[in-house]
Amino acid sequence: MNYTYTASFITTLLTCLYSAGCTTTPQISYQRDVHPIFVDKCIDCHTPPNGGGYKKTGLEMNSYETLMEGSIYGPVVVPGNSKTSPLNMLVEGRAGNLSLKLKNKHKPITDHEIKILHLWVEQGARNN
Amino acid sequence: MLMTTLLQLMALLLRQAESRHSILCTSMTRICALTALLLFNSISTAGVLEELSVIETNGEYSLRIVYVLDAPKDYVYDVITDYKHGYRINPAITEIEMLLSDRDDVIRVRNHSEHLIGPFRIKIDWVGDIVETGKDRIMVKTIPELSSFKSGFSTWEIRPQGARTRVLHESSMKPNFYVPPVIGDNIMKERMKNDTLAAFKRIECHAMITLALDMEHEPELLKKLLKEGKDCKSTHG
Repeated sequence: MNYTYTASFITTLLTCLYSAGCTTTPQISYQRDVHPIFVDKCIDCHTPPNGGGYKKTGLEMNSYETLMEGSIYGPVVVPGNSKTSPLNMLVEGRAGNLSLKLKNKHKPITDHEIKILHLWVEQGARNN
Repeated sequence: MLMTTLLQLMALLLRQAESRHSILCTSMTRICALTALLLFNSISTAGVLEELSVIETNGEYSLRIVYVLDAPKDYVYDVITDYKHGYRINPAITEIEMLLSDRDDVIRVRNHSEHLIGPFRIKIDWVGDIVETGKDRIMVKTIPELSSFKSGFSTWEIRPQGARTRVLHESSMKPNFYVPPVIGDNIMKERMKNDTLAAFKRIECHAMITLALDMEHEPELLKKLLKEGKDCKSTHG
């Protein structure tokens, strides 16, 4: 009786642990998930030659290649490290009042979009 | 120094040319400006370190650095006081917030940084009150109750030296996080020296970029030039 009880307890515990451990993180695609966010929220300003953000920083967000070139101040995406990526710092509100400015002037970026950008950078910021 | 003077001269010429609406003059000046930028790319930052020391007394670390930066004073000052872009100078910063201060002359800033020292990841919270006086002196007081420090104070003196800028920076701080004795102290001192040196080189680099931006409002071209020879973020001490 005791053995049966213990065995069923262990099975239940293992099932719980397995299902918790197997919660998959979605694989983010630049083309499918990330680029549309930039088109909707960023490209207006970050397009040469007259975009305000482009003129100020040299950051062009039309393509993966130009995004990864960064701005005149350096890279904006640090693959695998969303904590120190200026892109993530900005949209997550971790870079002074700049994030507030983005929210006020442009279409606000949603929490879901912030999460997509976070995962994409953490997953290596690939051109997939 | 030659490069800084050349860039400043070009900036002046460009402003004059634009005011006279002379197409030829503007074009000539732009060509000169781009030449200067190319020179800027081909020459590594030429700042001169005059003094750098870190000492530790009863758990308090005191740093003193005197560095002559190869960039004009106003630009250096602007970079140092651009607090919301502090992550450009210190890449370990992962959060910056401008807080409300109860005094008009005080700027209160909060930041969070993460440092990998050997196998350890140290997370540091810092909140400080900044007072800028006379465009050449900055005083920073750490607020211990909101920071990972028991105390902290620093000053910046930013003075022109010809076309260059002489910066004297002194700071002292007492960490509120565990630093292992002997080995930890030495690692801490070395780390402070290296990080400070790297930060000064980035300040110089960004000051030069801002100067170049003032001269030539074509970021695409600028970016191409700068990317070929320079990247402030990857500047190491």
